[in-house]
Amino acid sequence: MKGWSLRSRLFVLIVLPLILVASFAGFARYVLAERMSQRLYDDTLLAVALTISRDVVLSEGDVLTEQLLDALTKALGDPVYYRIEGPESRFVTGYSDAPERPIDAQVQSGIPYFYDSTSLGLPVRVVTLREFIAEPQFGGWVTVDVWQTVNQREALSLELLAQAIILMAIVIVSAALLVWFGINIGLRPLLELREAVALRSPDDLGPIRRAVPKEVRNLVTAMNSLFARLSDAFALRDAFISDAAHQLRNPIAAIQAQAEAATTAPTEEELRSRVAELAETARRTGRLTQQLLSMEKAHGRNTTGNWRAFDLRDLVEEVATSFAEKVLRRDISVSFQVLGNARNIKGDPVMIREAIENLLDNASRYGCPNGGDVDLEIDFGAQDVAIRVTDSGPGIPEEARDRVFDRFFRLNDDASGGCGLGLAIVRQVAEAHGGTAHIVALTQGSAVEIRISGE
Amino acid sequence: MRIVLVEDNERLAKGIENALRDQGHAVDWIGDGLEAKKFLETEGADVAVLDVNLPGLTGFEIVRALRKQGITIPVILLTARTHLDDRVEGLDSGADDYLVKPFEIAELTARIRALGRRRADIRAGVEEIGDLRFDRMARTLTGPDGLIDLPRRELALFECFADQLGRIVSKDRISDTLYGVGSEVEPNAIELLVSRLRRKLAGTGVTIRTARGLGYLLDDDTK
Repeated sequence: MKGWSLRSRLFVLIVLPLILVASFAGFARYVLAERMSQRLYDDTLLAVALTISRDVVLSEGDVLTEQLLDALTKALGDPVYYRIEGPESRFVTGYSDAPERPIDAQVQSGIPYFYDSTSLGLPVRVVTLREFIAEPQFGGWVTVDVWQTVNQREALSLELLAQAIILMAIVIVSAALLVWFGINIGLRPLLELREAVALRSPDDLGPIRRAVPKEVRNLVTAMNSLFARLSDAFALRDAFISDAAHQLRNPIAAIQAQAEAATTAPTEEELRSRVAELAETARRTGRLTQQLLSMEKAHGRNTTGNWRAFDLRDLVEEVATSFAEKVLRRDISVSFQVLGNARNIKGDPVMIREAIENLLDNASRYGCPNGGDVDLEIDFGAQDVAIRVTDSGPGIPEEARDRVFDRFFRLNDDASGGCGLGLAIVRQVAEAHGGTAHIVALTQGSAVEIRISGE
Repeated sequence: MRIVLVEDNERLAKGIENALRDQGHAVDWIGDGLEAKKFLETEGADVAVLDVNLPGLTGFEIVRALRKQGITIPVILLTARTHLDDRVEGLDSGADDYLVKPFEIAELTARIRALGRRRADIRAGVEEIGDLRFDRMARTLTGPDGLIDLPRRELALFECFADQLGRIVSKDRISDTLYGVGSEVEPNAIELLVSRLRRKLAGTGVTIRTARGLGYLLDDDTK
């Protein structure tokens, strides 16, 4: 039902229960009305029975006149039959084929006894009276049976049923129509909102200000907050692209200049040295674009979509191993240590690896350009995990400890070939994992620490 | 050496090809995976350098197909930086080594040299590392001053390092190789063994370097 239109949902949710309720109400009305009509018919039958018994007594046991019976039949709609028995079931007068009385019938004097039966193959309603008559001819207790076919009653029942059904149908159909068209009117503010959003240009990320019903106010607030975040993200991206273009312009201009210089080199030896410089510049440019790409990726992956549980210890050890293989012969000693109980953590392993590689690269590039120590440590704490890279280099001045995480910030415009993105990537990755990256104060050398949730 | 280079980025391929030619290698450059597989099956090579992302067949698929047919050409895979699982899949598929792009040409040529040498040495039965000659069949190690007397365990340790020349070998791995998989060996025992071997290798052009917490690495200082 999730993909249904609002209108269908509301329609089904309102009309289906309504049908149930209307059916129940209609049925109840039918039952009550039928019970009442039965009672009225029975009262009439009783009146006839009393009349007949008096008439028979007055006429001293004579058969009722045809006129009287005709008149009764005409008035009641169904023919009336009767039979009168004296004491000891002696037949007095009336019709001989009286309907059979239920075996357990207890007819008491003065209380009319009603029951359904059949006579001549037709369903009939019977009333039985028992009276004491002081006429010597009857000599005591007399039983009077009066019965009538039930055509009229059944016709009335059918009519009541039909009325109930028609009434019910009218209620349901009109409610359905009201709901179906009323919903449209009720949903109009939503449709208008949709139109307003559809008409927006891609650049327009301002908040929606129109008045909306209370129920959608939260939705609009959420949308506005999304717009605001999108707007921020776009602004950030624009700034990044412009930064990146600026950053790339310089080395590319250098490559161009160096390449042109190479074509005019006077000697082969000079040519070789110029081309070697050119190669170095190209290598740095390659690194810069690689870093820009990582940065962009760290940003774009700022979702948990790539997250999974992985063995942090294994990952860090692997990164440390390939780092060690690269730098050991440059008089850099590498050590790796795990504190606490190693466990799997949740995150994006590709980006975590990227961050650690950047930390190690920074440590060897700036911390030990001429050899030294690089120590890598994972500290599994109770709540979080710290990944720490320490080097034995000159350290980072206190005033720069926060700014080193800014994009394109470099401590000094040195020849180390860095591009000022490494720590920015590290911080971005840490923050994407709900953690932090910061410089740890040391008396000698420097240490950078990433702290992320250890779950 | 005859090297087959399979790389669909023409400029990168050209650069690698020139660098390898300058070092005296013969290079066949192929830009398509299917073609490369056919070529390697029929012509062979001393070393194959395969990019992972190729039109036709991926580098993984080529290596797997070759290994299935029992073709043991040494293969270096060039994998993209961001695909973490590539490294694992690369080695699982039967490649001998991998390099993550972007890499330095010098790094690639060093790896090719190492692979080619290992192949040549395995054929000859004698390896040259630094100023050492290691005869795997005769189980002897000769230095510039003649035969180096190594007990059986130290020789096995050296062999373990030589198999992974320039690569970190973890203590676990050393313990598995020397004492059998799963054996409980005191880390001290291995440290002692390494320091003894290190002393005996002094002045032979090779160094055993230590990375604390990671393992050891045998380095050929003459390269």
